[in-house]
Amino acid sequence: MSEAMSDGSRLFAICLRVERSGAQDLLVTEASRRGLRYGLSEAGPWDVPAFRAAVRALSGADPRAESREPVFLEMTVSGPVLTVEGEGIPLGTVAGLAVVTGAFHAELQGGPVRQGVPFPVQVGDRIVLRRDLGLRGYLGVAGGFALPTVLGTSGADLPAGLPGLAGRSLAAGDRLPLRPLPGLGDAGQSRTRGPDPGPEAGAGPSLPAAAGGSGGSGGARCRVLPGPHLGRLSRLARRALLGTVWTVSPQSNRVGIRLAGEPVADRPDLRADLPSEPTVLGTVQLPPDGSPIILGPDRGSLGGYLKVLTVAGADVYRLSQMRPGERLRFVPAGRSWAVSDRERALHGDEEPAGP
Amino acid sequence: MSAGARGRLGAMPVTRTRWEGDRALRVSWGASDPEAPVPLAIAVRYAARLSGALLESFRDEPQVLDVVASLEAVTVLLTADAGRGGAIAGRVRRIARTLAETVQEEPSWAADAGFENGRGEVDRVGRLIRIPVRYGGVDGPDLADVAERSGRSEAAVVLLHTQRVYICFAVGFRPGMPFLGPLDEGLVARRLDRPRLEVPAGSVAVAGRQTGIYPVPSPGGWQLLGRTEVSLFDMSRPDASAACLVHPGDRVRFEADPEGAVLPA
Repeated sequence: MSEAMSDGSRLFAICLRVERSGAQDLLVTEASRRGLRYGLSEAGPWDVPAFRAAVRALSGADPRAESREPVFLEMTVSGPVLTVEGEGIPLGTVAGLAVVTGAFHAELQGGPVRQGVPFPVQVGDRIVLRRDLGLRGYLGVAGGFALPTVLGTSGADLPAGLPGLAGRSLAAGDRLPLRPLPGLGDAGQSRTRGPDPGPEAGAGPSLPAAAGGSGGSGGARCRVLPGPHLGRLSRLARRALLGTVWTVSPQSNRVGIRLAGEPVADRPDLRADLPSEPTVLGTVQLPPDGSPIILGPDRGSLGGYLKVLTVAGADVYRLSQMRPGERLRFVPAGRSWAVSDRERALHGDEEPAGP
Repeated sequence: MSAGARGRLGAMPVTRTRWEGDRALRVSWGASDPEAPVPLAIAVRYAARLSGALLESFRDEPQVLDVVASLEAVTVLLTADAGRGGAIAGRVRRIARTLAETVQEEPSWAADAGFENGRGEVDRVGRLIRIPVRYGGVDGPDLADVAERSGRSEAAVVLLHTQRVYICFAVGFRPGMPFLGPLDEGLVARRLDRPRLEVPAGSVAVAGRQTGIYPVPSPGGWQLLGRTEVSLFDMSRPDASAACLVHPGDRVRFEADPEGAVLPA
């Protein structure tokens, strides 16, 4: 079996070459480095249900998939344009299988491919990734992208500067090697274009669920549990925190979602220098300026701001789809509901009404 | 708990284990006696031991993603697929309570991280790591200021910094960046009013009653005493645990080395 070089200088196999990069194309995996205790990030895909939908869609195609946590591409805001390259391999050779989930869909020469439906990847294909409603999506390939590992995985840890691909998001010219798949046309063997399972023209992509519901003027519901420091807020401040309809600020990213709105009136002790303590995905911090921040996968492992709430259940994942300008409000929830909600979402079940 | 067991340690740490969100367990500790807060020496030791004990206990538990330590809280993060976690919560609670009692039962002199165990026993907490440091001059631009604030000579400050064995109670902000304590009370060090935009990699720093090392160039508000060539995080290693030099729970001793060379293990 041959693995392609991640720097693209020699092509031993078939790869996806980046013609044009999206706003933040990141190679992500659920295989954790387990390094939060050492100052690494949690990293990984933010919309885990969408990531796993891609894994499930491709699960029949690579018999080795069960033994590997795949590395897929997370796309945010705008997607890349990719061409399928295979040096010395005839055009039309089927190189693999891909799928797009989340808020994006793929467009091939023949037209758009329905979100969630796997499509063959053929040498010479030009794949345009387009965003629909929502913010993030995943391009999965059967077997995952074949890249060298650093500290055990190939996934990106942006704050630490760890690969996927040189510790940064993708740039034009980057090459993402595909693992050669048995039976789909190994590198060097020519295959004519096989039967084409897609694309279904006119079939629109499915809309990602906004956090907690459709939103509207009251903002999307973001279910929360009390944070360790909630009791330090005055009752007035607590009411303001839960009663305000917050707006997602453009200064939001994988480190955290900054919220704009009437700052929560603080007391002098909110400015006190708290000893830093561990953060979790979905921690809602209240800095001295009174504008909450919801922490994401690239947050620092330690933080010194007040932790007033913690986003619950699968809402920690649904938040990854919220765009600047969208609104949300915090809704108290119970832990029991949260655990069930998370389980349902990760298994791809329909989301029930919830609290 | 008899009064005798407390010795000069002060109040016994009282631990609380609570869910933080639906898949993290936060153990925090405070003093049972508001008149006698948990001494820093105890807190540092407890944080280090608790995180080590939890990591060991959950080493093969697939639902535990990580255990992150800090001065006043240790958090057990569960994986995305973790269930209700009742059994895990029970185990965390038991370990937290048991360790609180053990910390209390130690002879008072051993609880102060400033003294090595005179019986030649290996501390249960962790490895001892020696860090050679070039003190002062261009490597330690704040040594003179710390000396002045402490009312001592620069040489005396170096002695105070190197004579203690510190406990690492947290690693974070940058991969491999250790937080150590407690600093000798004779060392008066503060946070800078304006942090430096860039602190050189390997800078050995102090602030309040903590000391630490900046692994990579980064902004920094602590006072710089010196610099080491030792690598705190080696990305060429096979995994994060091997990459990180100082783990929470490890003990660190600084050694004044004019050459700054890495000493043999």
